[in-house]
Amino acid sequence: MQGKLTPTHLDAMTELFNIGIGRAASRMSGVIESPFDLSIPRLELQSVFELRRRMLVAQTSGEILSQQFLGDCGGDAYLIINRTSSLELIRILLGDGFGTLGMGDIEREALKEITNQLLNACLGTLAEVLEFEQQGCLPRLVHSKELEERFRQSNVQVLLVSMVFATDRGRVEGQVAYVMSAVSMERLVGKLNQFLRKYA
Amino acid sequence: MINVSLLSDMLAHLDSGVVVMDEDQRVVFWNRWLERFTGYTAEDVRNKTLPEIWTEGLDPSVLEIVDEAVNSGLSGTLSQSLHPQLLPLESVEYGGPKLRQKLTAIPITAGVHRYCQLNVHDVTDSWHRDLMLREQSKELRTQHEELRSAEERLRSIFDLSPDSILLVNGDGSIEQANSMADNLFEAHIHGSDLRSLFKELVDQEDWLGYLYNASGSDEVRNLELTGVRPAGEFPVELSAVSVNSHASDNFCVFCRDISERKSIEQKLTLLAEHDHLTGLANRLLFSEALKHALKRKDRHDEQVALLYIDLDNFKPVNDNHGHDIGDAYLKVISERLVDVVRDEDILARIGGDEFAIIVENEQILPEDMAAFAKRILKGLNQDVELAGAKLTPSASIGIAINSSHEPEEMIQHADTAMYQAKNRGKNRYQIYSRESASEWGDTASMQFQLDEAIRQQQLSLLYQPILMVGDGSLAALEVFLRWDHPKKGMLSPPAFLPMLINNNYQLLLDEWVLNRALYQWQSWVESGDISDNVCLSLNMPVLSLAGNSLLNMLEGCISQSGVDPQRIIIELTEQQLLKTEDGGKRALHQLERLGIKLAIDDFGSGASSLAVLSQLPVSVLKVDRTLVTEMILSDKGKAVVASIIQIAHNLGMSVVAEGVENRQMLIELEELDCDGFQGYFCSKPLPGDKLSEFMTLVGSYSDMH
Repeated sequence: MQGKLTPTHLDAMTELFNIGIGRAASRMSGVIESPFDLSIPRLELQSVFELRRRMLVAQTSGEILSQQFLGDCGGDAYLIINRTSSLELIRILLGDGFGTLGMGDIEREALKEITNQLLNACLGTLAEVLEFEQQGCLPRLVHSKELEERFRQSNVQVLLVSMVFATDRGRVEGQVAYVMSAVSMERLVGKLNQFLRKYA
Repeated sequence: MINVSLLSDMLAHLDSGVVVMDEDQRVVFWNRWLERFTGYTAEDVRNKTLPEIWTEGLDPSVLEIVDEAVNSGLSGTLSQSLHPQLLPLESVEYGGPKLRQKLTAIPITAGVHRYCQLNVHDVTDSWHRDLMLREQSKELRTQHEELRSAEERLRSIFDLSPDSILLVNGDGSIEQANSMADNLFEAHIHGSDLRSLFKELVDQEDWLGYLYNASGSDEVRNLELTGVRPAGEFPVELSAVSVNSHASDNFCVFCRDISERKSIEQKLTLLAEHDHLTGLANRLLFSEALKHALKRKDRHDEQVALLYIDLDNFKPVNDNHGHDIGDAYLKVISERLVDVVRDEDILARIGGDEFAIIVENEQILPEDMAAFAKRILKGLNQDVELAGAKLTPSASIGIAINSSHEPEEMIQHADTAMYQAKNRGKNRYQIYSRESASEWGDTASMQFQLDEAIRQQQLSLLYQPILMVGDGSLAALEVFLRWDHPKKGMLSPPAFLPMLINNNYQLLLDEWVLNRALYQWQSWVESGDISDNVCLSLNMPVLSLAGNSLLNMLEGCISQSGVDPQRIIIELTEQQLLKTEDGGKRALHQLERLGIKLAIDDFGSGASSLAVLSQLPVSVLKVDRTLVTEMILSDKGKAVVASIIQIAHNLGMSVVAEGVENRQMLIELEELDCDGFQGYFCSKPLPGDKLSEFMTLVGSYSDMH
C-alpha cells in the first residue's frame, strides 16, 4: 500500500529533519548569542486520538501555536509544549527577567519566532530534498476549540516529532505535531519512495 | 477591480512599513511609512538590496527570512523580543529614538515571479508599555508575596496557637475557628453561634454588650465564663478584640480552658481560707464572709447575726492532757458545731479555742438566736472521752444581731457579749444590746463615759469614818468612789473598774480621787471639822503599784497639796497583796519611805499568811467583816479575832474591825483590845457635805459606848 508510512520512511525523515533543525539551531545560537542545541530523537506516526491524549498529558494551555503549510504535502503543524516548559524555553531564550509573569506579548512573539524557525527548517528541508512545492503561512495562535474541530476529521494523520532544546541555561522537551490529510500523507510517502529509490 | 495606482496609495497610507522585493531581493516597493522612518524615498531605494540601503545596523535574520520567502515559499516572523533592532529605523521626523520592530516576511507569487513582502511593525510603545507593566506587575507580585507570607505567618499562629481562636461576626456567627477551638469545644464549631458555647451568653441577644458589661471596661480581657461542650461545663477565660475590616465588623475571640488553674486556685484558696486542723473556714475567710454578709444586709434588707463562741476552760485541757488531746478535743467541738449549724451558715475557727458562726436570714429574732445558742450549748455539753480522759465541754457565746454595718464593730459587739456571758458564770450565751454593753462596756466606751461622768459631776467621793474603839474619836476616813449614773443609779467601782484594769486610765482616775480627797481633807481641817491627825484611807489596786507611775503620782499630788504623807493610808486587799510580785513589794517599801502607811483590807477573807505580812511594811490590819460577825457568834470566832489582834500587835500593826453593825460587836472588840472600827453601827459612807453633821454626833460616842 503506497500510502503507508514505514519505519524506513520515518528514519529518512528523521535524518532530513535533523539537517533542517541543525540550521535552525545555528541561527538561534546567533540570536541568543550562546550555544543552542536542537535535536530530534524520535519521529512517529500517531492517531489523532493519541495526539489529543498527549496534549492532555502535556497540559497545554488554551492557545496553541500553529502554522499552516500549503502545497502537495500540506498540513497544519502544532507546537505541543506544556506551559511550564514553554515558559522555561522563554527564559532560556530571553533571559531571567522573562517568562516569570506568565505568557505576555513579549513571550508569545518570541515563541512564534522560534516555532516558525523550527517548522520552516523541518518542512523547508523536506520540501527542498523531496522536491515538492509548498507555501508556509505565518504562525498564529489557535484556540483549543478550533483544534477540536480540526481533529474531528477522521481522515487526518499525525506525524509527531519529538524535540529537545538544550542550552547552558537549561533543557526543554516538546513536540511538533504535523497533521496531514490522507491525500497529503500519500503524496509525502510517494515523494519519500522516490527519494529512497534515488539515493538508497 | 482595484487598479495598481489605488493599491499603491492604500499601501502608502498603512501605519506600518511595507517593502516588496523581487527574486533578487531588490526593492520594488517602499511605502511612505518607511520614507518617514528611514529618511529614504522610494526613488532612493529602488532596485537596491537591503544591505545596500543599510551598510550597518541590519539584523542578519531579516535577510534569512527574506531569502526563505523568495526561495522556499515560506513565511517568516521575527519578534521584538529576540531582536533589539531588526532594521536601523528611527523616528526621523521627530528626531525620536530608535524603533523596536516586529517583522514578517510573506512569499508572494505572481505568475512565474516570486516576491517577498516584508511588513515592519513599530512596537516601540507596546514594548515599553509591556516592560512597564512587567515592572508594576513585579512590584505587585512582590507585595502579594509579602502579603501572602504575612498571611501564612498569621495562619500558622492561628493554627498552632495553644489558645483557641475564633473569628466571629457581629451576629455572633463563628466564621473561622482554629483546631484548638474545635478541640476545646469538642465539636466542629465553624458556622455555629458563639452564644451556644458559653452558658452566660445563651440568652443574650447583645452578646458583645454582655461581655463589655461583665468586663466593666472598654476592653474584654481575661473574662471568666462557663464553657459548654458535650462532656459538660468547664471554666474558660475569654478575651475579645474588634478586627474591623472594610467589609464588616468582626471580632477575634480568644479562649482558654482554665479548669486546671481553677482547681489549683481552689486548692490554694482552701489552704489559705481554711483551718487545717478542723477544716472549717479560718479567720481570713470568716472576715471576708462577714464583710459580704453585711454588704448583702445593706443591699437586700437581709439580717445578719454573729455568734462568737469561746470554749470554757480549754487551756487546762491542753496543759493537763497535751496538745494532741487538745487538738482532738477541738476537732470534736468543731464536728459538734457543724452538726448544729445550717448548711447556709458560715462556721469558722477564728482562734485557738474561738469559733464564730455567721447567720443570714430575712429576719432574725433574738429569741431564734437564743434557741440556736441553747442548741449549740446542749450539743457541746455532751461528754467527750479522749485517751481515757473524760471532758465536758462548755462555751460562752456572745451574739450580735444586726448591731452594726461594720464587720470589726460587729465582732467587737459579739466579743463583748461573750465576755459578759463568761463573767456571768460561763456555759451560757449573751445577746449583745447597747444597754447591756454599757453595763460592762468596752474599755474605750467606759473611758468615754467616765470622762463624761467627771464633766457632768456624776462622780463623787464618799467618806466612811473609822473611829478609835477606846474613845470613839475619828481616826481616819476611808474614801469610796461612787458614780451617780443617770440611768443605773449609784454604781460602785466593782461595777465599772474591771474594764480599766491594766490601763493608764485607772491611774488618771486614781489621781482624780486622790486630789479630790486631799482637797476635801484640807478644807475640813481648815474649817475645823476634823483634826489634822485624822488619816485618809484610799483603795488602790496593787497591780498599778508595780510601775513607777502610781508612786510618782502619789508623791506629786501629796507634796503639791502640802498634806503630811503620814496622814495617807493606802489600802490593799490580802488577795491583791498575795499576788504582788517583787516589783510591787519594792514599791510598797518605797511607800513606807515616803511616809505613807499601808493597810491590809478584808484580812481573813482569803488565805493570808501573817508570815508574808511580816515581811511587808504594813501598818494597819483591817479584819474582814465575816470574821467580825463570827466573833460574836462563837467562841472559836472570837478566839480567831483575838489571835489576829494579838499577833498584829506583836508585829507592830494596829487593827481595825470592819463591818461593825451593833453595840455588841463594839463591846467585844474593846475587850479584845482592837484599835479601831468602822461599820454601819457608827456610820455608812457619807457624802462630803454630811461629815460636819456626823462630827457633831461623834461627841455623843461616849453615850453609844
